[in-house]
Amino acid sequence: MVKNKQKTQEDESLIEAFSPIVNELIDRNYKNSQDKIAKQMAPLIGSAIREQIKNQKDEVVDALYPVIGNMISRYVTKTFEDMLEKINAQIQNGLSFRAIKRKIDSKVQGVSESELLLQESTTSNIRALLLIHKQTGTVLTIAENPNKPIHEPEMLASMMTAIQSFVNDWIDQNDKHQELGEIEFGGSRIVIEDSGYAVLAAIVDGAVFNSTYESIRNVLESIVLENGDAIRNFNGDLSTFSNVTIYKHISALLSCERDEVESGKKHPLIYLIPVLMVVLFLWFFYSSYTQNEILKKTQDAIYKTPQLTSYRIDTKLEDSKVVITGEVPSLYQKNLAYQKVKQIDGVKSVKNNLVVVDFESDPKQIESNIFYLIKGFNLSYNTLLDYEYTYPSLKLKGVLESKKQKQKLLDELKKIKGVKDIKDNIKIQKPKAVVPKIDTVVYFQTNSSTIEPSQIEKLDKLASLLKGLDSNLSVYIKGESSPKGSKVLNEKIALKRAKSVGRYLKNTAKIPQKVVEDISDIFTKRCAVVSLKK
Amino acid sequence: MFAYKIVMVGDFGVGKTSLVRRFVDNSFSEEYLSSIGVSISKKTLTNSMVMLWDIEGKTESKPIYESYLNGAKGFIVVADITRAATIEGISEHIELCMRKSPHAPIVVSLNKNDIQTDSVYDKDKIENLSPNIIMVVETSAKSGESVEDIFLNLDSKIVEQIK
Repeated sequence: MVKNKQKTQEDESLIEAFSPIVNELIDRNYKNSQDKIAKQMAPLIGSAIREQIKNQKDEVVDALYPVIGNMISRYVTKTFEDMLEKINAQIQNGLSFRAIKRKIDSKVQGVSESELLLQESTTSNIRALLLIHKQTGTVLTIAENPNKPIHEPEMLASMMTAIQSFVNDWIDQNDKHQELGEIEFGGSRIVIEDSGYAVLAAIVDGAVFNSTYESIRNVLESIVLENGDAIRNFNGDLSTFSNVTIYKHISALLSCERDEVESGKKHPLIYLIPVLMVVLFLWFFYSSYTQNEILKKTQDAIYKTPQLTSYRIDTKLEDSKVVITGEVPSLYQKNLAYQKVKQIDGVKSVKNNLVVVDFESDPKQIESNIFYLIKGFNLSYNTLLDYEYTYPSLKLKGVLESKKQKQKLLDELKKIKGVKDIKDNIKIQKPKAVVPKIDTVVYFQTNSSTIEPSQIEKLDKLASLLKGLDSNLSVYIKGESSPKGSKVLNEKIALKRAKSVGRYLKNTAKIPQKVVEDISDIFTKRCAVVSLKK
Repeated sequence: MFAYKIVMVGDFGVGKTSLVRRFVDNSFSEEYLSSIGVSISKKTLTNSMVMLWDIEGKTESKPIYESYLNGAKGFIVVADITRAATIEGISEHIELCMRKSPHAPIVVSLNKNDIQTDSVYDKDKIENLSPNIIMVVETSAKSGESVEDIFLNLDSKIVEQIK
């Protein structure tokens, strides 16, 4: 017992003495031999983790969760961000042909647009297509997305052929002959479609759908049908191998998929939209202008109708239909307004919403109606009527041309409700006829009363004017002669000249007026002067 | 432009990879790394683009995967001048080449001639193995001796055949 105790004390003394040295040695060794220690520790770590998982799985999960959980979370977040970015880009290109097509598809298929958008976002994109000569691994034709070119396509083709060869050899040893169909790497894969002498390899980013396989297969089928012999006989000389049609086939496949990658590109039809918008705008502008014109005409027509001028009548357009609103005292005004509006060019239909209201008891409204009626009458017939209105009596003053005109005025006034007592002091006075001043001079030769041909045109013009004038007027023709010579002879020839002109006007030109021929008081020249008097 | 495939054929460790590396990269490494499967290199010459298939060498337990030889326009059969067994194996390789491409020209490269050796071989006998053999030559991937010759001669013959 004592011995044991003594040994324990010795051990503790030794530990206490060597501890600093041992720690120092470990530290120094660690600093100098980190690589060596790492190599020695590496296998132990794997075994230790496996052991720990076997014994305390939950603890390991908890310990690693912050690392692995974050990593998965970041990966998922990144994937969703990429998808959202893609969806956002597609939404932003809302005017693209594809977007319009998507909207139509959505309606036709009864699927939400978002669902179609999501489907598009996960669509596969063919980055490049290589037609490879199967035996030699030579690239016969390549079509690639210029934004993501393939580096060293020949190497890729050869390696694929090598893998294909290896697989063939290996599978042959297992008594089964099958071709390699696909090589997957990261988020992409190489889809291999095999024919007798050629292989079509499509490098696809993202998921590959049945439609993608189908299209690749169809393209290879077309290529083989059209170029089978050329491919089979390919001897290594690329200059004699025509790949124009092949390129056309594979690039078509590439470009149709590329649309999805480069969805930013707008379809040419998109540019029609601004043109259509301009046309629409012009049509709208024209339509609006036309409707405004119609509206203006309807309001003018109502305002210029004396019987309607004084009432609060408004017009507006509702779906190309003119609607009349306001208040009138009787059905007469209501119908009149309807008739006036209906007659206007361009008005297709009229809705008469005028309300018949009793104005009888309102002297202001009555006077207002009288005022507008008289004003309208004056404007229409160029008269100068005036009035005095002391409820309920109306006194009229002024001059009118005829009794008929007066009666018309009185009739219209009587239609104004509330106007009961009309006293008129209107004079009927026919307007004085206006006699135009005519002073036409017809010249003659010496000692002649014969009308010269040069004067005929002048007389015909005069006759034409006289025919348009009142037949009650009188045409006076005064003959003259030169003041030289005998007065008797001069007067004789002057009268002859007047009568000669008178005969022409009466008999040849057939003017309706009475013709009076005479000689002039003073003789100055060889002529006859024609004038007009009442 | 001509595009074709040349396959390096031979037993393991004869220096196929070293010959290719010397020709393509003009480099050499003493370190031996056994080729697994196939390694493909591209070399562009004046009128041709040559794809060089350096396949895994034949061993006693593992034959060559013959499909690698499909479509080859020419072959370089390589033997190690210091190992008689590899020289004896040349006939078998040539037979395989002719079976896969009956008209393809063949160059026989007796490699590693930079190493002193007592082994002897009958050059005429090798040349008579096939009418397709256009050249039997000693080479050294290490010094570069005759390396370009074997590839360029083979290229000329292939281009001539294609034309």
